[in-house]
Parts: sequence; C-alpha cells; structure tokens
Amino acid sequence: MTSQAHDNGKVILVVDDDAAYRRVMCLALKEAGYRAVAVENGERAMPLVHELKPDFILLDMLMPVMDGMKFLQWLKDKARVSIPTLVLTCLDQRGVAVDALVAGATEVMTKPFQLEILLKKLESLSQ
Amino acid sequence: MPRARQHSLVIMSTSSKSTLRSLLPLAASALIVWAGGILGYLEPTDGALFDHAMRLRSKAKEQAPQVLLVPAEESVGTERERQERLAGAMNRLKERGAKIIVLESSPDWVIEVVKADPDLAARTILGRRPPETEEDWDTSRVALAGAAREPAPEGLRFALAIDPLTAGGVVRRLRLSLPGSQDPTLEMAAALEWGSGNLSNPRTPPLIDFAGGRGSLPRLEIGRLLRGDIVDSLVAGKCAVVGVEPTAAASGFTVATSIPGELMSALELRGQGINTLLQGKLIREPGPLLRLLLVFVALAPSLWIGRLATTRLALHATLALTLLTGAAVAASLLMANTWIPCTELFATQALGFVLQTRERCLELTRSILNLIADSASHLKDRYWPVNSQAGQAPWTLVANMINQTLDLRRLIFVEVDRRTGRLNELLSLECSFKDIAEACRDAGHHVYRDALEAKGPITVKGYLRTADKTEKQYLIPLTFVGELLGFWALSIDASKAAAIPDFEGLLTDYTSRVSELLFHSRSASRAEGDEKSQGLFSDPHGNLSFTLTLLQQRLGALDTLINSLNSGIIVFDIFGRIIQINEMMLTLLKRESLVPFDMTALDVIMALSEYDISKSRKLLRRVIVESSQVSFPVSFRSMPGNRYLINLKPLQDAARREEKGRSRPAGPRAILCELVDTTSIAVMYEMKTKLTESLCRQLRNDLAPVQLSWSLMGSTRLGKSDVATLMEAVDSRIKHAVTALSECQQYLSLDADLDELERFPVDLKEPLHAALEEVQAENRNPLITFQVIEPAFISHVFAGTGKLKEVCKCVFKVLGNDAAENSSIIVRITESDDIVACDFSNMGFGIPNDLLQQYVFGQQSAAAVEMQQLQAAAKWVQAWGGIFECFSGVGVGMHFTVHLVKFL
Repeated sequence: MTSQAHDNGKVILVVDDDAAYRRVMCLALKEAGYRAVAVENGERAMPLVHELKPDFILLDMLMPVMDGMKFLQWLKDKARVSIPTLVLTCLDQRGVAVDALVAGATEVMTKPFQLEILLKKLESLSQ
Repeated sequence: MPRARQHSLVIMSTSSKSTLRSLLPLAASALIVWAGGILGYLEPTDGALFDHAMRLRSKAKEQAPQVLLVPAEESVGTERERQERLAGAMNRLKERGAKIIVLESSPDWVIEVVKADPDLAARTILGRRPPETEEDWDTSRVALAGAAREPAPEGLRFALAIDPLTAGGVVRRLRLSLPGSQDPTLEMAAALEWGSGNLSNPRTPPLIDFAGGRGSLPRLEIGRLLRGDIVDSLVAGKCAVVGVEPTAAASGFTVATSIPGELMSALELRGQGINTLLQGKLIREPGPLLRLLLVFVALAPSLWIGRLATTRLALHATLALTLLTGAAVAASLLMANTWIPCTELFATQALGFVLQTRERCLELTRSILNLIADSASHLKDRYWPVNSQAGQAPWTLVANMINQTLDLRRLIFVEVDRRTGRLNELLSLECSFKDIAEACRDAGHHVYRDALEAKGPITVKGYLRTADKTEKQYLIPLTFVGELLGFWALSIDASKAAAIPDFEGLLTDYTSRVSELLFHSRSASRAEGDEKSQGLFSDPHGNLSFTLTLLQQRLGALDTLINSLNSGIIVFDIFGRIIQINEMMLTLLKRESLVPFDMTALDVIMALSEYDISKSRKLLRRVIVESSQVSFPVSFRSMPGNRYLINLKPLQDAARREEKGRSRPAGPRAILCELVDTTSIAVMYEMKTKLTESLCRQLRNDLAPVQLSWSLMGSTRLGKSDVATLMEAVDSRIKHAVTALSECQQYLSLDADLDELERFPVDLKEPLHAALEEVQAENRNPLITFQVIEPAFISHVFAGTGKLKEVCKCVFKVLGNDAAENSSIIVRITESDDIVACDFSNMGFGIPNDLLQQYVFGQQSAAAVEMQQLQAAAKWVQAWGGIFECFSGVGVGMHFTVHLVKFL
C-alpha cells in the first residue's frame, strides 16, 4: 500500500477462518483508518482480547476449534469485557441472529455485505 | 317417422305383447274355473263354505218363525188312541187359528177325518210320498206315480212329501217339485197356500235358510195341545207341520248349520224348508252369467298384483284379496240373503297368483339368461385383448419364451379336436408331430389319461422318439375351465431340470398360462365361425360357467394386483363405507391400532391426518361434490421416521364422465384413498434442501471477500501488492465458488433412489443424534451417560444416507456394553480443513487392542452382534472415502474415531 488513510486509532479484531477474507478485510479496514488484527478462530482470539483491548470485534460464526457462538459466550461470561462485536456470518437464518444477539453480539450482518455499510456501522458505534 | 317415436312404438308394442301374454292364460283359467263351478265340480268345497257361513249366520238374531212343529205321538196308548189324539190335535189347531196344517203323511183315516170337516180340509195339506223306484231320488230321475198323481178327493189338497236333497251327506237345498213334474212338494204347497209371492220353480233347488239352526222352530206336544195349555198366539196364524219325529238320536239329517254329530229330524227339516218359503227368505244365487262376471271381477285385481315388486308382496296381496272376497260373500249372505259361490272366486284368484308368479319367474329367467349372455359377451370383449385372439402368431413367441427361460431341448404343443378327440399339432420346436411315439394320436390313449389324472406334469419315457437318454421328458395336459384343450410335451437335459428349483412347479405355472391362451384362441375362433347362431354363448349353463370363471380369474388377478401394490389402498363408496382395502393399508392401519372396517371415510381421514372433523368433511366434500383430487401428508405414530401422502381421488365411470351436456362433473361412484410412502422422496428432498443451504453458505462465504475486494478496487491508495492480494482473493474465491457449484449440482440433480445413494453429502449431526436417541431408548444401564461435544455448525460430510446412523449406533452399542458403571460415553466432533472427525470414547473394561483390530479389520469373527457390525461399519466408512479407527486398552476402555471427508 503506497499511502494509508488517516489512522483513527481504533483497533479491530477480525476473527474468521477464511484466510483470503481476513486479508481483504484487514486491507479494507486499514483503508478506512482502522488498525486491524486478524486471527482464524475464537481460541486464537481469546488472548488478543486482553492484549489488544480492541475497540471492535468482527466475528465469523462458522469456524473450526472455537466457533463464533462459543467465543461470544466466552466474551460475555469469562472475559467480562464489553467490546462491541459485529457478527459477520454466512448463516442467513433468523435463529442464528437471535442467538448471537442474545449471546452478546452488537450487530449481525450476513455475508456478503457492502463495505460502506459496515464502515458506517463501525462509525456509528464509535460515536 | 322420427326415431324417438319409433322407439316408443316399439316399447308400446312390446309392452302390449307382454300384457297380452299374461292376460290370456288368466282369462282362460277364469273360464275353466267358472265352467267347473257351473258343472258342480266345486260343489263340495262351496257347500262346506256355505255351511260355515250359515253357522255364522245362525248366531245372528232372527225374526220369529212362521212354522210350528207338532210331533206325532208314536208311543202313547194304542193305535186307535193315537189316531184319536191326532185328530183331536188337528181340530185344536184349527180352533186355535192355525193358518195351515201340513201333515207329512196322510193315511186313510186321516183323509177321512179331514174330509169330514170342510173347515179343516180348507187349511190342511196332506203329504203323500211318491212310490220309490230303483232309481235314486238324487239322480232326479224319479218316475212320479201313485198317490200323489191320483186326482185328489174333493176338497182335499195333496202334496209330495219327499226326502230332502243331500249333497255330500248334507242337506242344504229345498225341492219345490220333482223333476219332470208339476206337482208341488209339501213345502211348495204350503208356500202357495200361504201366499208367499211368486214362487217360480228355479232351475236348481234353492238353498234353505237354516236361520237359528236346529231347535230354532217352536214345538208343541199333542198332549199339551189337547190339554189346551197354550196361548193362542203360539198357534194362531202359523203353519203347523205335523209329522212323526223319531226319538232316536241317530235318525235325522246333517244340515248346513249342523255341528259334527248333530242331526236335524225330518220334521224339523221340513219345517225349516217351509219357514224359509213362508218368510220369503229363500237364499238366492247368481245365475251363470253373473257368476262369470263375478269371476272376472275377482280376477281383475290379480293383474295389478302381478305388477307388484316381489312375489312375497304379491302373495300377501292375493291373501288380502281373498279375505276381502270372503268378507264380501259373507256380507252378501247376511245382508242380501244371496249366496255367491265363492270357491270359484278363490280358485280364480289363487290361479291368477300362480300364473302371475309363473310369468314373473319366466320373465326373471329370461332376464337372467339375457344377463348371462350379455355378461359373457362383454367379458369376452374385455378379457381378451383384440390382438391376442385367434391366430398362430402368439404361439411362436410363447414357445420361444418358454424355451429360452427353461432351456428345453424339445417342445411340442398339441391340441385336442373337440368332436373327434384326435390330436393335432399346434407348434413344435426341435421336434415334430411325427416324433411322437404314440401312434393313435388320440386323447383317450393311456399316456394322455395318466397325464389327465395327474392334472399336472408327468414324466414319460420314449414319448418323443428323437429324444436321447440324457433328456427327461414331460407330458402335461392343457385344461381350462374344466375343458381339455390339448397337451404339452417337452424334453430337457436331466441335469438342467435338476438344477432348476421346483422345475415341475414352474412347468405348472407355465401350463396354466398356456392353457388360458389356447382357450381364448379357440373360443375366438369358434365365436367367429358361429356368429349366425348367436355365437359361442348360446348355452346359458356354458355362459354362466364361462362368466364365473373369467370373473373369478379377473377378481383374483385384481386382488393380487391390489395387494401387491406398495401403496396402501382403501376404496370407499360415496357413503363412506369400505368396499375394498389392500393388505398394505390393512397392515399400516393395524400398526396404528385402527380397525378400518369399523370406520367410515371421514373417520379414516381424521385418524390419519389428525385434522378436525370440519376440515376432514371439507376435504371429503371436495372429492365427492367437486370431483377433485385431494392430497395431504400424514405420519404414523408407529413409524415416526416414515412420511406418507394420502391421495383422495373420486372414481368415476368412464361412460358417465364422458356424458355430454352435464352442467357439473359426474358424481363419483367411489372414493379411492391411496396412501403413498414418500419417505425416500421426503428424505431426498430434505437432504437436497440442506445441501442447498450448505451451498448458499459457501457461496456467501466466497462472495464476501469478492465484494470487499470490489469495493476496494476503486481506491487509489492501494499499492500493487494490495491489488495483487485482492486479485488473488477474488480469483481463489471465484474458483472455490465454481467448484462448490459444480460439486453440488451433481447431487442436487440426482434422481436416484435413496437406497442407492451410497455416498452423499450429509449433516453428520443428524444421524449421530438419531442413533444416540435410539441407543438411549434401548439403554439397559441407566448409570451410563452420554455426552456430545460438538460445534454449533459443521460442514456436510460424504456418507451413505442411512448407513451413517447405523455406524454411529453400532459404535454406541459397543461402547455401552464395555462402559463401566457411572461412566460417560463422550462424543466429540471436530472439523479441520478437509475432514470432520467424530471421536467416540468410553471409560470401560476394554479388550486387548489386537483383538479389537482383528474383530474390526481382520478375519476373526466376534460372538457379539455389535462387534460383527463394527466390521461392516468400518467397510462402509472406507467406502465413503473416510477412515475408521479404533483403539482399546484393557482397564481403560475403547476409542473409535470416524474421519469423514468434508463436502465443500
């Protein structure tokens, strides 16, 4: 990347098992002025929650080792931190969205989604 | 003339003929009965009926009689004293004002007494018996001669004192004169003297009115008369009949009103006759023409009765009519003093019933015969396909088929000539008619008789000359509907015959089919050649036998067909009652503890669908009223995994369906309730749905980086490496999506039967949990618990559609049998890039690992069924491209891992 957008100082933790998606998402977030850190599953994300103290978490639901739902439960019950978490999932089911919201998710978006909408949501959450 | 008019004329003509046909015998029978009545053949029965009517009448209150009976004394004093007493009595009668004195007999001394007193003579009629001849009085050939014909002395009146007329020993009629004579009888003379109207001498003696019966006339003893111990009204104005009355109880006559053993004296009988005349109560009878008219009147209702629906009803109507006629006759006697000879009326009505019933039977027989002929004809048309009728064409096909199936060496069909019993060749393969060793060519030959007695295949030796010793020869009679049609001879290598299981049974099956074919072929030929004489089916018994046989065969075939259907079938009539149910449906309903024969269509729908009565009625109404087909899914409690579909169809007659000018569809004759097992279709559909969902998820996953990349492409701040990253991401995701699409497509477009799906993308969690539920339900040790650790979502894996559950179940059972009490069986599902692994483990007793490996992968066979099933499970998993691993440690327990290939 030849030039970076203005760094807004916000840190976003991206949790998704799809490597290509992680790369593109990190690029998109950096382009929008965020600092993005990506890991492939919930288990790997757990230490980073305390280390990075991210402002937002973008979480996938279907992941090996520790899926999104279990991570949400951990975040709520064990980590005891309140980080706005956007669930970005390919599961287009009402039940999944409800479960995720109950488990502590802030928003649920279905993949694929428009980047602009995601960024607006992050911006609104920041404010 | 318009066609409709012609048609109605034909119907009228037929109807007239039919009426005429039934009317003529009735009229003839009425005439015969009438003639019999006129000629007196019915007199005994008629007399008996009259007696009965008179006995009934005698109980009715009658007016006071005009006759006084004065019995003469036979045992008082001497003859002289008796004469003096009788003369005195006559004088006393005269003095007391008796209008007429009738003396039954008139000896000379009586004549002298009467002659001496002109006043007495004026009111006295002297009876004289005509001399008897050898002829019987009853024959009415009396030669009247003697005293009665002698000229009467001046002032004296004589009349014939003749014995009463009997018929069958019973006195019913009164003679007014002797045949061929103008001399009156005593009764007639008394009536003339009394002045009882115009007493013309009828052709037949009139009937006496025995009103009041025996003892109804007053009696006056001579002694009492002479003593004057009477009132004048007893004698005054009366007709005194004086005569001898024997005291013996056995003397006298049986009259119409007599009860058995009761006799009426000649004196009283005479008195009754005179009283009948004096009171003008002579019982009238209709003349011959009137009787004929009455016979026809009585017969007329029989024509109406003949049109009644049933013979029983007609019988009841006839009995009622007879009773009515009897009542009319009785009423006529009581009220109009007219006796109608009713035997001929009753006989006519009875004959009318018999003739009408006979006509009805004949009509019924004609209808049945027509029905049989029509049925036979229709059945023939329906049962024989047009192209399978006469001709040799099918025989080659049949022979080739049999030969190919049974691998015969030689085969010959011969048919029997119906008239001569000679055999003719139908078809032969690898032999000819000349090869038959039996030279007579006659169905009566013993070899054929043996086959006929056996009613099936018999082994024969040397029947076909060309057959060698290694061949086994059979001879089989071809019979159908009890008719011998021909024979089938064949030879086969003995070793081949032995190798075919139940070879002779197979021959029998073929024989029945060949016989049927031959029968139809011959019948068709005969029918063609016999068209001028109403075809083959002119013999009613043959027709009936033919019809019944074909119907039985057709019904048997239909039953077999219906019962062999994989769908459950119930046929209801439009009132909802069961007409037909097949075994499949019966079994399914029995499993649900439903008794179909106690249920209506509505009950069945409600029980199977669990719809309420209102909705069930609505469905049924749509089928019956709108003639539309209705389908709805159902499930059975006894088979929760199975899915069924109920189709309710209206069954309509083809003819009614095609009727023109109907404003609405023709109503159904019946309702077909078809239960179709859609389990495999439903499971397939469900699997495809899940596969589609999985594909959608994958596509969404793939499209997410593509869309992000597209959004970023426009950014000018991206460096080359970033663009390359985006391009690579897009490229890899699109390739992945295309692969996923093509892989899914082959499974989504699959039309194969579910059972054939040995490898299909399935959701592991479903068969795993289904197996767990079943094992927990069967678990005999409640101290063992099960724990499943699984992610919320896992990818589909390749496995057999039904077998994956069996694999899980088998592993659960092995672990359950091995587990220690208060321990858990743990299942853990993990997903990696290409594999979904399912680990099963327990804390149990375990067995040596080598032994387990031998059981699962080696040749060693375990005693326990579950262990045997493990071997099959391992093979299935390998067939799906997965890996089946197992480990066991003594005192540790067992561990199984099923690695399955991930789909997408």
